[in-house]
Amino acid sequence: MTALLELRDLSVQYRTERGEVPAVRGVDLTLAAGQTLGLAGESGCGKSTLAMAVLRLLPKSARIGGEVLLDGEDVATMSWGRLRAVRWAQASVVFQGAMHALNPVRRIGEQIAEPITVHAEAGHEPSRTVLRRRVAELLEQVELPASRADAYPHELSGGQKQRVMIAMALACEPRLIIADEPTTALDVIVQAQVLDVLGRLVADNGLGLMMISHDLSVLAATCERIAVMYEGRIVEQGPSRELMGAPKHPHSKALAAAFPVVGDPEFRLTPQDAAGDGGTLLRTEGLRVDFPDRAGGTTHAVAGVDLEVREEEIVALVGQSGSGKTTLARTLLGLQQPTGGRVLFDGEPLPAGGRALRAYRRQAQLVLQDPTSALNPRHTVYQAVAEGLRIHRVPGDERELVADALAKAELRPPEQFFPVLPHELSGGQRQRVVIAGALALGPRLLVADEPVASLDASVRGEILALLLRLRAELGLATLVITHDIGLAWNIADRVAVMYHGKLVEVGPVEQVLLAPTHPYTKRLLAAVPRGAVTG
Amino acid sequence: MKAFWREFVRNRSGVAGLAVLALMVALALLAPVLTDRVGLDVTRAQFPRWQPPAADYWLGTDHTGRSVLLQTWWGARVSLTVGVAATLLSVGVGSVVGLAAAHFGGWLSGLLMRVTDFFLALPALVLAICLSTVLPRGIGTIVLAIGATAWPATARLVRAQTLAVEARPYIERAKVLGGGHLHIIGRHVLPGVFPLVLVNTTLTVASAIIAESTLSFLGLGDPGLVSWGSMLHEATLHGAVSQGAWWFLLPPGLGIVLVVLAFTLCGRALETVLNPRLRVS
Repeated sequence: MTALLELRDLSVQYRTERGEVPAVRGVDLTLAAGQTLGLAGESGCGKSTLAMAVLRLLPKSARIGGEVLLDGEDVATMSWGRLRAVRWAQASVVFQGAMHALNPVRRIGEQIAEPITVHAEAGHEPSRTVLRRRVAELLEQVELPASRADAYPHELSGGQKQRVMIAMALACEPRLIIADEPTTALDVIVQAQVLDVLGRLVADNGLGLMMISHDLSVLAATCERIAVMYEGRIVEQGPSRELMGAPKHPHSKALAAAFPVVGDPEFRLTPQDAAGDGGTLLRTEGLRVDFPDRAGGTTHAVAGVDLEVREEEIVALVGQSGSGKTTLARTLLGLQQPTGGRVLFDGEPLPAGGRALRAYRRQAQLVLQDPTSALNPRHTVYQAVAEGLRIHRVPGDERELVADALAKAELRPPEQFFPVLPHELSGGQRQRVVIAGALALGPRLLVADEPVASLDASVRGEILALLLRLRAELGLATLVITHDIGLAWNIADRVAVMYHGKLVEVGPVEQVLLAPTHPYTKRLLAAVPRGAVTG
Repeated sequence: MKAFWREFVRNRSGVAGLAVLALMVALALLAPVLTDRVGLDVTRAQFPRWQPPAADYWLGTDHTGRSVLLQTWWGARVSLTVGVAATLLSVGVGSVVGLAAAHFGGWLSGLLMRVTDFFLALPALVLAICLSTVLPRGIGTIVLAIGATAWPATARLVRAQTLAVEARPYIERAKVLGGGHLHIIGRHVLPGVFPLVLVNTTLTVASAIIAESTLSFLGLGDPGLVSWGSMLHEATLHGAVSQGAWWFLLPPGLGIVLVVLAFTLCGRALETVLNPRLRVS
């Protein structure tokens, strides 16, 4: 039997102004019907390019070498018409980012039916009733009610949209599905549901699935085999269990370490009792933030939160998107006025504005999720770090202070980074610049909103280590806001679980994550993809 | 400043544009020194009418027998003055209104944008004519009339761009660092909006020069002054086309093209200098 998909010595180069840039270098892979293969790697490793090469979806600037065999037929030699027929009917793609892959002005039923009508032979177009029945069938397969066919994309949640994308990929009954980061933008709980649907469909229909992700644990949860890609090559390939349990290549190890197993002491980076027993640094009392919503009512983004961060303590605020955790963080920093309750810093209520609020800014600083957009692209590293110093007219030699802050954020030698613009830095370095900018003011509290969510696996560990070292060396208290429970397990001393604007469970990490009492915490923990659990 | 200049000099087309502009401005400024104003007087026309270019009159003569070269030379003064002054006025007002509306939001934004909409909806020519009838005739009135009708477009543009820049996370970071309104506008928003304003400025100069010619055509300009617009108007009015007098039409037309092109080249060069990301790629 010929394999469903076979890549023979596949290589892809992009022609750019700087010459040819290789994206994929000599990849051999086979996938038989009914098999599932996970392709793991960091951004820029060539995994998406590889997926697009299968259906010849690459831009014109790409040069492809080697062979891509779909059911034994070389994709490169297919005629345009044949290629069109093959796309979707033999192999289909679940694209990354369902939020943008759906047309916002058309009903999802029409969009699911589109490939069916496009692929129907001339003169044999299916009738409307047949189409409706087929769409209903497909929606049922992805566990959506058939009545949702009349909905527009904006009426669906992220997870529902992703399921629509899967239904679309299934529309022409392909034998191979390529899923490119199908769950990246989704919450853990929704992610678990989508993966569940995808896994069941593949098993029931005997499809071949190639799933691409940077998240090893997601791949391990759905795929039998995993191939790890690094700099355009497959560096390690094997059964999921083995690869997750005992990765051999250093890069696989880094990837595996980025998705910690909650409960495994090996992934607990913070030393026991590292938190000082200092007094309370920040406290909220019955904090409420309401927003008017479109219907004229009010949304309670933060609905009565009592949170405490002690000196030299790392607290993780965990919750799904929409749970109000970012609003809470903004309120703590004085960026959002609370509707009720109050924030106390060092026992003093948070000033509402003016000089006092500006003075508070020296005490509490923010580290944003995406360092690329958190830095003004026009400002050099020096300007970005000196910005706070200039605003507050901090006395002392500016160059020295900036160099000192950069050194604390482990950008050494600092002078070399002064004239560099953000786009010349790597993601991890950019995040260090953001941290250095915060450190320059000598704050006592750092609020980090998803500090590693947009970073690659290998960088993640470094930034977490930096946060821990800052606590140890400077006595910095940190409030980490995250949807990633593994991150909380990695570095936090205490964990606060937020759900619908309320804290449902607060306590030491070991207690909350290993013996959760609230049903929501339990659900959250159950949804974390385990992969191959070692412990 | 030195680094800025070094960067600008690297851009050849920008330097060319700047050279053309500098030459034109210099010639316009030196006109009273190098030429005699008397030649512009219709009653003292020295040459035969409708003559093609010759040694005495390099660009030929018009319907009254005045030198076209002399008119173009002096016309540059009025056209450049009005074009630049009206542009500065409209871009200035538009930028301030757009920035304020986007940055402060709330009722101020509503108020400012409704005023902008009002001016946007007014027929520009009618407003300009009204202003010119109420106010004394002269260059100042024309500048005011063009400026008052051209700013709403800039305001809308600047507001949209400001909103886009203010949504960036680095604005949030600047706020957390303690930056006030002045800091955020001065350090982050203005540099982000500036390239757009510059490009918009170069385009506005072009339309201001053309608007000036329209108003001169309608007899709202200063009749005692020659501008490129009024030259074109005179040429069509007195049948330069049927006379085959290309020398009367081309100089003012090319003058407008050259000024607009020079401004555009300078604007683009400035943009590359100010936007470091364009510089690298």
